[in-house]
Order: sequence, then structure tokens, then C-alpha cells
Amino acid sequence: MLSKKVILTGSFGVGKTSLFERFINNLFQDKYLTTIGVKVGKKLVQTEQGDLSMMIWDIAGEVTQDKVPNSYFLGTSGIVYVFDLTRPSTYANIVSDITYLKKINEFTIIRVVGNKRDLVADTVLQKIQADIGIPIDIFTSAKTGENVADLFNEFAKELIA
Amino acid sequence: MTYPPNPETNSSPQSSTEEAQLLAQLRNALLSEDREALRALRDEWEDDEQWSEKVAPIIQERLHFLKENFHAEYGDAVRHIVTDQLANSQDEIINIIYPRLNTIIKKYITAQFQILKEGIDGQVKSVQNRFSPRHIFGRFFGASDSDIIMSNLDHPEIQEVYLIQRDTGLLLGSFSKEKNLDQDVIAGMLTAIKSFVEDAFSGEEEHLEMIQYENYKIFLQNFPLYYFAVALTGSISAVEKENLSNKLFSFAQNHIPFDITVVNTTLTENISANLFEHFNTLAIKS
Repeated sequence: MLSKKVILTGSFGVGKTSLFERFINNLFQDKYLTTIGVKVGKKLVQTEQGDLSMMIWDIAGEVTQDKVPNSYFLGTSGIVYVFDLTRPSTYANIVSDITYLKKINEFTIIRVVGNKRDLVADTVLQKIQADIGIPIDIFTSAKTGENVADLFNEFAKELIA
Repeated sequence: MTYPPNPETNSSPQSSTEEAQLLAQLRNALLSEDREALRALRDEWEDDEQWSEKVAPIIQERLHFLKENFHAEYGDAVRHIVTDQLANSQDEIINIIYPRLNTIIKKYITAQFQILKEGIDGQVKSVQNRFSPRHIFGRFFGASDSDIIMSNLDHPEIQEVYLIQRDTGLLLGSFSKEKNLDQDVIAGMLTAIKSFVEDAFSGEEEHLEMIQYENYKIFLQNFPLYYFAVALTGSISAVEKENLSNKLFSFAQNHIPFDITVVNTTLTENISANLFEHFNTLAIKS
């Protein structure tokens, strides 16, 4: 079985820890507790190509990605960039953030995730998708669990390929 | 003066066509074998597979020869190039080596001072102890000096050893006397703490070396691609730390594969088995 490191990053309060908890422990808490530093968790994912031990680093949110310590990104195989669909400030810097992440992690797979899908109507979702300037890979809701497993399972397939 | 026309060279158009045909026939008769050989050669040249079959053994042979005789054939030339390059780049080399050398020397001197300090402390303590109430009381009941000294020591004992890939924090192997927690998560968290501290408080050449809480210590030994985290109980002196460090260096030299880029179960199981074999009963002596 292979092991790979995956980073959950994005602005603060976008639901990174909620996605982490939902995927690893199938839990959800309404209460907001800010992440201090990093929290590391493990999830074994089974794919048709083989099993993967996914080491997920849930790192403290930052308004822009250049404020995240570079050492956290070292050796990472995948990055999940999360933003909050209900707060435009969390995707205001998305283009420059993704450009920066691609620059410092040249061979890393990056997924852009719009979280809190349960709080947004379909029409608003379409507008965000049109306005945001880069393709959004998936919309998730850590609260309802919508697409959370799909996000990580599909990611695992790509990482193992 | 004019010459009469030569009946053999003065040919009509009809005769020249015949001549050409004759010549062509002659050429075909004389050159057909050569043409055939040329065609075969061209086919061979254009067919990569055939070409490679013929050339590969020659290249292999030459490579083998070079491998065997490189030193004799090119040793002097290479030595000259390297010597010249080193002579011309002294400043650059010093610039690269100096910070690392500086750190190594500083660490060595600090460790030696610590050993010296502990030696002096030990001597002073032993003199003081001889007249302590505990010592006098102990002797009164027949306890030897060594018994009393041994009872004062809190020997370090290895509880867990982790070998962790430096950048990713992925666990390369581990040994633990008590398997309570998920060791992959511990490896990740230790790496995150280490990264945070090194980013926040030190330059590139400085590394976190010890984490301590109550009577529990985590000794970190850094290598370029990985690091060891050894969880210990008890107190560890500078001499014991150096001994442990030597054991880890020796383990790294003999039991860690050169290529650790792909972390999978086979790799971690092999390293874990070796860690168990070498550290399960290891006593760190001062």
C-alpha cells in the first residue's frame, strides 16, 4: 500500500477542518474552532488501482497562500484548495493563490473545492462558477456530507495512477 | 587539314539509342550485385531495430571497456579538470561549506562542553554525596557506594523509535513498546511541529533536536532525506545522547535503503523489522 501526503488549504473559516472531520471520522460540528498550526489525519482509501494511505494535513487558514509556511507544502502529492461559497472574500484571491501554489508545487495535483454547498442556491452557484475565473472541480458540503467522499476518493485515484 | 569521319564515332540517332541500351545492359550486368548489396545496406540503415542490434553490442563493449579502464584512460584528465575547477572556485566552495561547517563545529563544541560540565558536576556531586545524611545512613545499613550511586541514576530507556521522511512526514518505519496511537499520525504531527519550529525560530542550517514534557523526551536526529524521532523516558546525559546518535548513524548507514522516494508497505515493514531488532533491547550507556 502506498502512502501520500495531501494538504487542505484555503482561507480561514471555509470548512477545511469540517471536510477533514467529515471524511476521516464522519463527524460534523456546527461550532467554529480555529485550527492552530496543523492537524494531521490518516484515511485508507481503496481504489481499483490499489489502496492508498492518505495522510491529510489540515493547515490553519490564511487569507493568501503565500502566508502559509512553505515547509508545509514540501513533498506533498496533492493540494485541496477550499473556499467558502457564501463568502466572496474567501475566493477573491483564488487566481493568484492557485498560481502561487502551482509555482511552488510544480508536480502536485491541485483541486479547487467550493464548500458549504448546502447554503447556496443553484443560481448563485452558477454565477460564482462564471465569475470566479478558474474552473471549480467540485462543490461540497461538509455539513450534509455531499460530495465529500467523492472528492477524496477521486483524488486518491489520481494520486495512485 | 581535315580528317575523314570516323565510322565508329559518327553515329546516327538510331545507333546512339542502341548504344545507350547496350550501356544500360552492361551496367545492369556489372552493377546488379553492387546495387543489391547497396539496397540491403540501405534497408538495414533505415531499420532502427536491425541497426540497434548490430550497434548495441559494440557500444556495450565500449562502455564496459570504459568502465573497466576509465581510471587509466581518463583519470589524469579528470583529475586535472577537477583540480582546476576547485582552484578556480575556492571562494564559491567556501561560501557553500562555511555555514554548514560553522554549525557542525558549534554543535560539536557545545556537546563537548556539556560532557565536560557533566563530568565536573558528577565529581563534585560524588564528593558531596560521601558526606550526605543519605550516604552515611546507607553505609550504616551496609549499602555500598555503587548501590547508592545507582539508586540516584534515572537511566534513559527507549520507548519508541520512528523513522520519518523529512519533507512529507510519511512514516518510513517504527518500533514501539506500546502501540496505543496511530504511528502514521504521530509521524505527521511531529513533522508539522518540527517544520513550524524550524520555520519560526531558525535558519536553514538549524534543526529541532529535542522535544521534552515531564519525564518524557523525544530526541530528533536529522538526516538530509529523513529523521529519527526517539521517545525516551528517564534523563539523558550528553554522553548518552552522543552514544544514541552514533547508534542511529550506524543504523542509517546499514539498514536504510538508498531510494526512499516511494513509501509503501514493503519498505515500512522492512525498516520496522530492523528497528525492532536494533532498538528493542538497546541500553543507552554513558
